[in-house]
Amino acid sequence: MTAQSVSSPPSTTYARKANTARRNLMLADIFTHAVLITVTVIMLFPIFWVISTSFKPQAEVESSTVTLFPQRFTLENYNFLLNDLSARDPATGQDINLFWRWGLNSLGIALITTFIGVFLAASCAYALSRFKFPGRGGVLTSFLVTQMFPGAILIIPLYNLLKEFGLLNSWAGLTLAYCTVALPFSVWMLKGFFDAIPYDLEEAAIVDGCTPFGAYWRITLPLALPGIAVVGFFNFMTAWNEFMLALTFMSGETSKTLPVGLRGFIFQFNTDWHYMAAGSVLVTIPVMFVFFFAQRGLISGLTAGGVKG
Amino acid sequence: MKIQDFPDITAFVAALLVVVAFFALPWLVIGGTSYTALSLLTVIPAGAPRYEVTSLFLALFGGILSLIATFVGLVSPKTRWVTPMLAAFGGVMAIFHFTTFFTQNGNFENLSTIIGVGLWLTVIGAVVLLLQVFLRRTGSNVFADAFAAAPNARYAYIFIAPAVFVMLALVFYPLINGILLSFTNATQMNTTRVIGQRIIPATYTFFANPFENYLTVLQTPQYNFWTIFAQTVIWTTFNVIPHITIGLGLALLLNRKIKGRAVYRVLLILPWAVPSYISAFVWRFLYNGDFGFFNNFLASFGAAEVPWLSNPGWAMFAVVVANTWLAIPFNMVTMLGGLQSIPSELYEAAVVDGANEWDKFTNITLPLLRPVLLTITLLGVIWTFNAFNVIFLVSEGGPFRSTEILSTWAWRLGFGQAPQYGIAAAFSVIILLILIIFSGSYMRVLNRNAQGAVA
Amino acid sequence: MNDQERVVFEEIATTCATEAGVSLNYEYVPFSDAQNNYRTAAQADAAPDVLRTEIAWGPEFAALGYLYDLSDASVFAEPVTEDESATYLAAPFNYNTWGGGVWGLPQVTDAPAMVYNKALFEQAGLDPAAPPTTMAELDAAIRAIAALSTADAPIYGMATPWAEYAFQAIMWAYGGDLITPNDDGTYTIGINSPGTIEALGVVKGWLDEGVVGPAYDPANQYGNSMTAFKEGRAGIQIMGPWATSDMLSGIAFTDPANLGVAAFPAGPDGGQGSPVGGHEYTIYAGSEYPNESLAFIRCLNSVENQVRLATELSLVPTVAAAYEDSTLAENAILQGFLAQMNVARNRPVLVAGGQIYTELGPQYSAFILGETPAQEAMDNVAAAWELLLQNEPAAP
Repeated sequence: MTAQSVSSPPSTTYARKANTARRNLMLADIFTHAVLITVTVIMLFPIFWVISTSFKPQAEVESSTVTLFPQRFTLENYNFLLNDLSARDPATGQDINLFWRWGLNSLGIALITTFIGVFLAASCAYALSRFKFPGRGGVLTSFLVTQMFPGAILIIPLYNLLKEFGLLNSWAGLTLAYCTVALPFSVWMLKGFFDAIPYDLEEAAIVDGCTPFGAYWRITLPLALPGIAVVGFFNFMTAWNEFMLALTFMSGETSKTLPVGLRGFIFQFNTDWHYMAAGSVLVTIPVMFVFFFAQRGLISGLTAGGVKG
Repeated sequence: MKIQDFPDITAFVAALLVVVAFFALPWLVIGGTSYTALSLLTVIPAGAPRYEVTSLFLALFGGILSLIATFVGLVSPKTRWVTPMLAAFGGVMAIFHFTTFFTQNGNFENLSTIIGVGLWLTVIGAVVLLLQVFLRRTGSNVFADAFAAAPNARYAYIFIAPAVFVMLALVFYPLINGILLSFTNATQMNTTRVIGQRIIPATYTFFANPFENYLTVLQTPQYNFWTIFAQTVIWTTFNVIPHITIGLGLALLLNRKIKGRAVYRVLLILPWAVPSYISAFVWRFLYNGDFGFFNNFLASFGAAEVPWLSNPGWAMFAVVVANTWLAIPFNMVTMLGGLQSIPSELYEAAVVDGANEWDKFTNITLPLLRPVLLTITLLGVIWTFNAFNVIFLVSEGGPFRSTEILSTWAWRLGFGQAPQYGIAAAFSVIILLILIIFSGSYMRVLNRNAQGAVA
Repeated sequence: MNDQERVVFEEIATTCATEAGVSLNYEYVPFSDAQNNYRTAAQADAAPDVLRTEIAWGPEFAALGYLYDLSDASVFAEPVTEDESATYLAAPFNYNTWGGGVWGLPQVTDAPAMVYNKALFEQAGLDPAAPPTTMAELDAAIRAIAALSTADAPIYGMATPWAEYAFQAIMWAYGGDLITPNDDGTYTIGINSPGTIEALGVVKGWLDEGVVGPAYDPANQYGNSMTAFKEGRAGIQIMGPWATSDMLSGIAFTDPANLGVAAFPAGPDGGQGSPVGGHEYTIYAGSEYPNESLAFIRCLNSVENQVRLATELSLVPTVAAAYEDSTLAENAILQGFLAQMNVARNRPVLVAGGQIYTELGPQYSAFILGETPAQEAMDNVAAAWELLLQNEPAAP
């Protein structure tokens, strides 16, 4: 503390200043808490609302009086989705539950997209990070530019392409489409992660006689696993949440994914909000659990590797 | 005189002559009348296979060009970059059109021998070209130099091959196809249809003026381009500004050392986990005029109900709010990351120098946050411009198209009630051009500012 | 299609499948996606053999080549003949005859009629057995019922027409029209004619005066108007037979006899009409079993099944013989809708016919919400329809 030439003893002034500072800090903290609490309530309210709606019977959902909590708590919406919503599977001729089938479609497609997407992106990002070669700039720029494409520009030709090869309404077609959606972003993110790993280890391995592929597999990939996990998570979420392509390419009732299936509750004149709410909860809760556990890694992954790249 | 002594300019001129001859000479004889290649590009007479023919001769042309250029490049090591570029261009075009033709017309029954041979030449030309690159045997010094500096280039190519192939096949091929489609009058009535044993071939033509669709889109009021473009700009602006400001505000608050900030952080990102289409459904339900929460809440106070989704102004407000709700978590987290990378010593030094909160914010935080802010803004603009789910599912384009944006409108034109592929493709290309121009100018302004700042 | 309809349709389909000797794969597709889904599937030879489709889509599918001409003797061993066509009601069957072929067999038909709450009629001093037959009488009835409202409980004379579709009844009453083909191949567009403008003014006038409500909310109007009518807060509604079970589930109609159905009134010049809608069965042109499919459809449309649709689902049959059944004669609601069918009007039987509402809907909403003046809105619609008609393919 600097010496002060004032009439009162330094300790009292310091105490007074410290008191003011402490009070200002407390006010600022209270203000912060107040704002954060308000914002949290606003951000979480729709989630709360959909959960609450999913437990209300249809009559209560569609009444003009709104109730925050269900007056008549019921599980019938969930029961309908999980047990009664069924159709005949044209392939097997058996009756199947549609909701589970949609979930299976979504999950399967998302998982395959994740694996293929990560596999493709990792090797490409590795090369972009480690090697200089003619065309490197072009590849980087084109991957960046393709993120700018509106969905609409690719969807008609992609639709025709898939139609020619008979890939409409099939897992393969939609997975391929999702890979192209997920690839550019994954490549950029993984490149950032690879850039952060020093090259010395691989260099040493190559000097010892390892091929570049070997170095990649055995040294770099294990080190980059956190980044790969982050990118894998993103790919999975992209595929799980994607709506527009699924809407266009999957038209058969049993080949739909969850987003398109849930949209089927919006009818010509009305909407079955109660079923849609229950379906929304069923779709979101598992994702939320995973997200909850992954969010720490996610945030650090985002801030470290991605955006600045 | 050896062929190596021919200067490359001669090679270039020769290739050019081939191009001109290809277009001008009578090429195909169909139904007793012969057509120059150029006329096939524009008006295709009734009865002739249409786009297939165009693909065909463009493939052949590309293949021949590629072969000639490659040959010249092989034998003349002193040629400049022109011949390999022509070779590459020819090869890519050849492959593209070859595959296009192949997918449109799976059998080669009706082809004459010349065309059949030509197709094979095409493939061979393209393969030879690629082998050259791989084996570093191009005649161009530029390529040789580049490969000399990149001893690991072949490994790199193998690494990137799968990803690049997927992108070529599933992004660039449809993109080129889409662009070409925008030069035609394709609708659902005149594209190929397979019905049982019957194949109804495509009958759409290229317009004499390739930009016909673009002019139609821009000038015909019924296609609503300018209205919807204005709406898109409004939508983007009123989204990105709140995203950034609210995200930054929340990040600043979360950056303070208060109790429970980890809890807040987790809670505030939870909405990010909700799939965007589900959020859209929930917001749509909240906005419902009759039994949506907001109106009933207002009614319980005696306040007037708001026509959330029935009034154009309110509907735009409603979808902006919904989209902002969706975007806040990502913006907040990214800004927070940026804030946390600012070393706290800077702030402490500033306090010692007598700075207050505002000074700290404007002189330390903002400048150091600049890269993140600028990136987030650019990404935000692009993603918002292209956003589909929120508008499509919450307002469905709003009361009489007042919340329709370019991306949802283009989808409707292509997959709605009366699919018009040519027009929808033109729309999409226009959207893409807008975004490219915006990003390009943005990056240029950024770089200029960065250089100015350094200077 | 609601859940009840699904169950009944599937039962009928299963029975008929057994009779026709075919195995049945039954798939239900939501209405909003059905047109697109079918196009997607049909283009790639993956469409179902039989499709129950909205009749306005029939000409479009036919023009695209997706449907068999059921009268084509080269495809069918027992093609549909003129006699068979005559066993159906004329109005719905019209849609199947685009370009001179027979592209489907109608299953059910509908035309929105004037449905009303008899109890509210009595309260307002009107005779429930004699509903309005002219627009002037309708106007008086609406005002009489609206006069019943109190400060806390507004009562509307009529529930707001839920979209441009319901508005058509009013439009035809005042002499407006949609699209009429002329003999020389051109088309007369009547949507921006004085009759339509007058009809629009009438509706807006009612809304502004508050005798018709609830307030117009395009996204939710169907549900809002329906709820108001079901809860007895609106005396009249323009509604079709597809909603009968929905309406009867309302608290105002626990006694079904309280629901009155009559043809929508005629206008000052005698114009009257309501759009004919409905569904038909079509056969995919790539089907490998055309004859079996046709036998299947014929069974689906048997008189017995048609009567069942009427009695259980309150849908309006298309087979004339079904009306000779005594249970149908006693069904007052059905008879009311039938009365409307007799004065109903076809929407344009064109490929573009399934697409006219894409432009009409938004412009209608724009006018009702006060954003665009009536003539300008309707002129926009006419211009858009002209663009549509330019692409109208010639009939085969």
